Amino acid sequence: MSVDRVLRALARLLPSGARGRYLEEWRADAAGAAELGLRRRDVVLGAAVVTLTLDRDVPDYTGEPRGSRPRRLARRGIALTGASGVVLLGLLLTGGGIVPEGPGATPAVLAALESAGWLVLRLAIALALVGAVMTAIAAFTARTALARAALFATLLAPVFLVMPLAHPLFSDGLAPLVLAAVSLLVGIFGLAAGLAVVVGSPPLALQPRRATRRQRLPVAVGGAVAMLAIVVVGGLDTLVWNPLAKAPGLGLGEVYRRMASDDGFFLGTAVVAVTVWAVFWLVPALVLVVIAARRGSTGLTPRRIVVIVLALVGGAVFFRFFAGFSIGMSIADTFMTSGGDSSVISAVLPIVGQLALAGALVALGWAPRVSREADVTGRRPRGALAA
Amino acid sequence: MDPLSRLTPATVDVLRILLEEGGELWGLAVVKRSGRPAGSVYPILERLEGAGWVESAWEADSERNGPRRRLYRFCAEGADAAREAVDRFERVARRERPRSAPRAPLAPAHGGALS
Repeated sequence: MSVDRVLRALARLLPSGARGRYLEEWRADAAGAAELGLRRRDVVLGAAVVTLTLDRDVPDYTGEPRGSRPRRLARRGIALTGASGVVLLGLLLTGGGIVPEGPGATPAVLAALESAGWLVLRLAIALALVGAVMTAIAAFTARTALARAALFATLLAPVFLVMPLAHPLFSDGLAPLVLAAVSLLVGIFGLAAGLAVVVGSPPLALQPRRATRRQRLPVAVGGAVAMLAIVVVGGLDTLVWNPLAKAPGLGLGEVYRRMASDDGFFLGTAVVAVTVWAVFWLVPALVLVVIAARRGSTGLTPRRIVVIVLALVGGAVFFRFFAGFSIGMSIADTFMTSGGDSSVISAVLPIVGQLALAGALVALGWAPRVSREADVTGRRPRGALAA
Repeated sequence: MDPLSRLTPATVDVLRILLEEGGELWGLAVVKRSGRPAGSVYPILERLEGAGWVESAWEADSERNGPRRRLYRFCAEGADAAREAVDRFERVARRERPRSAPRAPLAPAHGGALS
């Protein structure tokens, strides 16, 4: 491979703002090396070291104020780590995922759910690894000791989370729960220290993030429809599909009659609980549509709507457990079964909820970077729209 | 101008060479004169420039064809800061030498960290 080709390859590893300058400098040095009795190979080695050590936070290279890059990397790294934590915690709480029973739990359905669980677990590990790398880079390039300490603490959180997967010793008994708790504490410390850093630092809102009504309204409506689907499906599952799966061979009327006679179950109470749950989570999504429809809500960008809707979906799925708790216990007492859910939907919804919460965190962390056109001195450019 | 995050013997060598030159000097010439590898000198020049001690510019009106050479020189306050840094480094080195330390430890300058 020619020296020039290597230099070009090395230049590609530099920030775009520095690429042209260093490539020309290295080319000139390589061309003149013999004149000084030096080898071109020395120039290549020097260029390689520069690609590794270059300060990539220089405003001239990034088009952003100094400090923007580590902050953005930290935000994204923490978001990915948090998303991984949510998914792993969800898998832990559901024992690796709910296994459905009853007539709906065909071998194909079980295989599909197993595959989904396999994928979700590996996705969580990948998110943790990428998040850790991003946070590590942010920690090494952070400009204050407190920021570095906060980020290194945050780095430890995914390590504790993946330990149960690394060795049987860490997956026995309460070890996974303890490790998850430690991970959470370390993560919270890192986050708290990080917040202290962010609060004490000059704001970086250099570019207004705004959206037109046409941009935000369809996303808000789509979110409300998704939320409606979640509460309808979740409600039906709690009141209809899951009771049928728990007592195979019986009709719904018979199931409720036996629950009423054997356990004193009152259907009205369960319906009220499910309705309250559905309304509680659906109303915010509808309010979001109203806000998005107002002309002045320019700050409600599609990304922010997605964050809110995904968080609502995750919250609704998680709190469905409480809405269906009394009916689940009554089913267990009446038919002498476990109190856990058994329907296919009950197995699918937790995965949806975990991924929704993880998605909300990732979307929260993926705030768009300041555009290269933005004024690096901190003034806001006029008329710029960003999602 | 920012204080340097660390002052190594290689950094002192680069500062000395630029001080001796007094004006613009081709980056690769700094490598040659220092006798240190480009892998050591290039990052030092980049760091000095990033900290605002040194500035660089393309050579002007060259008769050579092809890519332009990058010339380095001190900024307005850079030369004074470099002189002070080199002096301080040498004072510490002289003080430490009898203790058999081959390389002098770093010392602060400008009331803050040179290192």
